[in-house]
Amino acid sequence: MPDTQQIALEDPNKQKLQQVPQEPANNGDTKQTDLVQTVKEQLPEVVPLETKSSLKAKLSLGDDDKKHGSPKKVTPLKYGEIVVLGYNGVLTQGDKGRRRSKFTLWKRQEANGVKPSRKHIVKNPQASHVVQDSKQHSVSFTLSRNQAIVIEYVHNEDTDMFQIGRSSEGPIDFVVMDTVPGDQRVDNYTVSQSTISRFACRILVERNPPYTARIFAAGFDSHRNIFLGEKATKWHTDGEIDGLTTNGILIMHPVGGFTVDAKPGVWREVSVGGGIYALRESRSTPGKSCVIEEEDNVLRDGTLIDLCGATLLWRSALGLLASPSPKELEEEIKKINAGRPQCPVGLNTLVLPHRQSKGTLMATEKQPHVYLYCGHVHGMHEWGQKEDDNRQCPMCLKVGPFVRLLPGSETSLYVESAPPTHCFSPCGHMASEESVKYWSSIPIPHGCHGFRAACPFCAMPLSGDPGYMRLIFQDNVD
Amino acid sequence: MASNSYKVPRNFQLLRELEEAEKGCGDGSISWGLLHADDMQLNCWSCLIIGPPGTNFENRVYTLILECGVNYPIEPPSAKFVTKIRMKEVNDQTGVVDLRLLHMQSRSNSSPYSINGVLQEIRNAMTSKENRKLSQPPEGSSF
Amino acid sequence: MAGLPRRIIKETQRLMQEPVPGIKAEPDEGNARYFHVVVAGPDGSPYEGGTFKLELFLPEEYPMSAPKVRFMTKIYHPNIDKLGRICLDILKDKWSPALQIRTVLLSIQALLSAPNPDDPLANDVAEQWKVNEAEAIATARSWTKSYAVPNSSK
Repeated sequence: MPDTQQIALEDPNKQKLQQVPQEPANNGDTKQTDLVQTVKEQLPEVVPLETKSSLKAKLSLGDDDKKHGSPKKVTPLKYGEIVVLGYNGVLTQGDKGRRRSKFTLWKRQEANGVKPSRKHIVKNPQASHVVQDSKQHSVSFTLSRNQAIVIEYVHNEDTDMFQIGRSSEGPIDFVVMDTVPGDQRVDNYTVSQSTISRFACRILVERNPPYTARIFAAGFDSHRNIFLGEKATKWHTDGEIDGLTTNGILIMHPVGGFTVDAKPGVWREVSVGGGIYALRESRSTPGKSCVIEEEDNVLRDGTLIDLCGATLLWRSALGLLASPSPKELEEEIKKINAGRPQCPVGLNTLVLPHRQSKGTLMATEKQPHVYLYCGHVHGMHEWGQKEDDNRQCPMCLKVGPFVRLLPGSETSLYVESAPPTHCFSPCGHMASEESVKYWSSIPIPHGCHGFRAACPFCAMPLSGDPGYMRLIFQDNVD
Repeated sequence: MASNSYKVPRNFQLLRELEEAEKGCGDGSISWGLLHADDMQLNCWSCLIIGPPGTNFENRVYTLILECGVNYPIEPPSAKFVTKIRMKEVNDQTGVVDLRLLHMQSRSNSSPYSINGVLQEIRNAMTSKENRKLSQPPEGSSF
Repeated sequence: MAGLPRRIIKETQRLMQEPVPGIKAEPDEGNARYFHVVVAGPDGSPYEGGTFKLELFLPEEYPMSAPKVRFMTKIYHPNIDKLGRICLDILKDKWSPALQIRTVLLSIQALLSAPNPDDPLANDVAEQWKVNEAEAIATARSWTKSYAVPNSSK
């Protein structure tokens, strides 16, 4: 592969650095190596000073990796990640195959992108040769019973295509089901009627720097077709044809990137052709809103994609440098544990769990809990219970919810690499200060009309103001 | 180890019993209080028993003094009637109650004594076959 | 009942290792929930120079309910009655399990420095404190001498 050769020539050490598990698993080791390559190739982009130094640190860590195994296969280039909000690093039933809590977009061995070419006007799209040809990608717009427009798509060797949807059929690369807020503990909760489209959207990434990724509504089915039926919102003006999907694909670019200084951007709807439109009156109101010319469908680090039922976060490979690796996060948690925080009532040492411990999250006395209105961290005890499930904090006598502290394990949701000193309310998921501040300012579609800030780890809408709390640990005084 | 079993120390048990008495408990047929309000040792207790119905003690008010020693409540208090009374368990000359003769049915061997319990036992003894129809000294006389 | 809760063990250890200045608290040999306490009368208070014996007991529900504390040395104080019982909010409705034996004893020490006749337990003492504070303080001082100073008349 050209990528590898190029790197190997530049620096023989790099070759060794690539010797990581070939499975693109979510672990820190893999990450370090992708970074090497990604950053190399993305040099035209401006790298902030701070990021450069942390990059160095990460590169030097690579020494450890050299010891592992013999070279098998070169890790492909990583374009970025798509994180499904609400799963905190792992699906309740475990990540399997194309159904995961997070997807990595790797450069494909061979380009599979497509681009529109010819336009056909036909009577019945089903009968058209382009649609019937299962090797030919096409998008059909049925204008009336007797007229349809079929856009023929042809192979594009400059782009890779990734499709997202609810369908488990082959063309869907990333299977996403409806997110149940606060899911983690509800086992047999089933979504009665999914609102996520089976072929919801597709992302096309340019195979050459700067690897621009663009999102489009709707995905191609097993016959490589997209149909917009008679009832779908579509328009045919000035020779251009485009349309919207039933529940729509919404995107939002935070203004200022995926950082604490970002301001939430405006949620927009993206069309099948990749155009940007103002939101419809409600999610599936027929008719398009005005086109937003000055915005585009290019994914930026931190862009949110809403499928109506699940919200996805796009993290670019470069942007991910600012987030901690799982190893770094574990170190931060170990540091807190090393301070031997104590329950002020039981006087026993509390231990923050530092990995998602599926379902077996400790119900022991070591499990830290927090009073959400003051942030005091305690072990589990029964004092101060009120009728409404609230509790009085023994430290400051404030009455409020008392919840288990849970690790925010999905590091791609952190805007900075810093200790998890805060937690979200009401769920108790911990994250760094800047991270909780960021997410508490970001509106996420909630139901079909509203927007609310939510915990990115469990998708619970945040409660109270500001929706997060600084944790106060009592360090061991013994 | 002794320290592993939960036990309330003498003074705190007595303070609780004092509180109970101040609140008033039961049907009023027995009551108690400190003999001297500033007795920090909590030693001497002045108690009242109203004689049970259907006996020769009926409607009579008996005063007695309970003294709680240092080993109370593991060991019982000593009890002595002030009001003259005739009972099998009471010394005719001194009014001292022989607690060994009381059945103390309501208490198992390990559980501690209480003023309330002892008074209840004495009152129960008034209803026993041997005591209930004993002729009694005139009302109001003292030992 | 099972063994002694860890919290009580830890509190006891810390009380022994890092005693509070002016306060001594030792568990009873036969009852680990029962403490023999000696508090030095705070400087500048009418109790200065006295050593006051107290007893403290951790009830079964402790720390979910407050310890029980009582003076065993006679003391003239508006918030302490004839039997040595103490009127202190944290021992009653203001108890919180975040408080400890240590903090309770410190509060009692503070109460000696700052009597509060408006929230009295010993009504006659409180009355005296309000009517003639100087005399009340003198009485407190004399009681300290009589009952709380070793080798004194009593």
